[in-house]
Amino acid sequence: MRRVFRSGFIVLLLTVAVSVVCAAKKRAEPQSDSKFGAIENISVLPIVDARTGDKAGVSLEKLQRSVVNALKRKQYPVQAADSSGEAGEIAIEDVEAADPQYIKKLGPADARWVLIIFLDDVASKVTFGSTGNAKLSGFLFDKSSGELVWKGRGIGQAGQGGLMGMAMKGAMKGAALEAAVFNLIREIPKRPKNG
Amino acid sequence: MKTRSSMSGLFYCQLCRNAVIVLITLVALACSASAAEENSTTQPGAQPKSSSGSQASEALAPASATNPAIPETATAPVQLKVVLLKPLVRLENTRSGIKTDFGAATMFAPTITNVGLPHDRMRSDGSYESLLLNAAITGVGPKVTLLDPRKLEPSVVEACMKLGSLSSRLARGNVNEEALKALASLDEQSAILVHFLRVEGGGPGRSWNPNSGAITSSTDSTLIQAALISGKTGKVIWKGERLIRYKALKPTDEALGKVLTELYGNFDIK
Repeated sequence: MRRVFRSGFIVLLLTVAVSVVCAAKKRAEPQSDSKFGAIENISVLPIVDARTGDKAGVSLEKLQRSVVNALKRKQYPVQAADSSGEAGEIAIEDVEAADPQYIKKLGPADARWVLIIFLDDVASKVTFGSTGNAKLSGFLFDKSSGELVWKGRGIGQAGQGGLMGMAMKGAMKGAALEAAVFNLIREIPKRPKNG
Repeated sequence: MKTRSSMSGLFYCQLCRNAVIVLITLVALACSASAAEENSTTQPGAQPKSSSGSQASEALAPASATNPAIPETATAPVQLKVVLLKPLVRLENTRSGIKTDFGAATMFAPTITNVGLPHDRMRSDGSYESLLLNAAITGVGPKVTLLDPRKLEPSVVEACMKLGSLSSRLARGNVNEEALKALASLDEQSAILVHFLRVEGGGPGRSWNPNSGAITSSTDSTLIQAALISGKTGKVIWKGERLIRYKALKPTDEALGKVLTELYGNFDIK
């Protein structure tokens, strides 16, 4: 009898774990654009922590790796940059203004395409279960021309109801961040094949 | 046989009673956890609070406990004269990505005259801007000298117009070179008080999927930031911020007024 209960509990646990649904509604793949075909190598700059208040509990390096992997899946040659370059601390206002002189200072000197990701917010909470939300903003620049190639916003939601969901609160931030990365990079069209 | 049957009935009765008690306890636990966290304003790690009072006060309590306005300690000059810049209000639609800025930061707060400004002179048009201004006048007014923008020198007016356009970054205490240049036009005993309010709404809301049990929370939020920045040096004398998650507060919401009051709760310059 105990064995039956134990197996039942394990099955339940696995079912709940698998069903942590990220609210990423399926949308059509963005149309490919010739300007994305010209991209040879994207440098993903260190994630800019643009959260307000307490900034604990998130590995920005891991988040950067997630972005790199998501871009690789879109067939882009991509690498993670170690520093934000000559520009120093990046403010979202400077990036939104997209002054070509400022853009040229972003990232490694030899990089042409730079992707800047801002972590706007990430949080989790307990309700009748637990939920997590994450918000990211992304900007892709061509440093040679100072042009903004792409910008987007990625919002990730995760959550599970019930007592098991309540116990899973610790995993919600990570799940929401993964969903936000997925939603953000989804807006970039798959790299068109040259020739 | 009869005895055995009644024993068995008694056993099942007790079992059911125990199960009900366990269920009630679990539901009670779930409810209390939910009530404490449902309206959390906060940063990660907020402590839950037992439910009492209005929903608005519950919403604000964790923020005041864990995320107080950040007192950026600095010594302010004696008899600080403050120019109150017009707040920058940004309404952002998460889904479409459209951002709309109101309260062009090129104008001054129109009705500020001096310390002890009577309440009937405050603006009461029910807008975000008027709420922010009134909160600033009430919270800061008695502790500093609010300057009348009409009596400012043209060079200062020009500098403040420039600073106003930088409100969104200045309000979080990010003073860049451009701002420093503009602040140089002010004297050492002057400072600017900058406000930024961002209301983010229209994004994915809360949901429940009865099939999978998946739930989500609203992605709406309201952010209020304010900073008092010294003239000449560009030093941040004080700054405060409040982030209210899961809610895009309207000017008519009682919670917004309470958040603003809290924002200036620890405004204390020496």
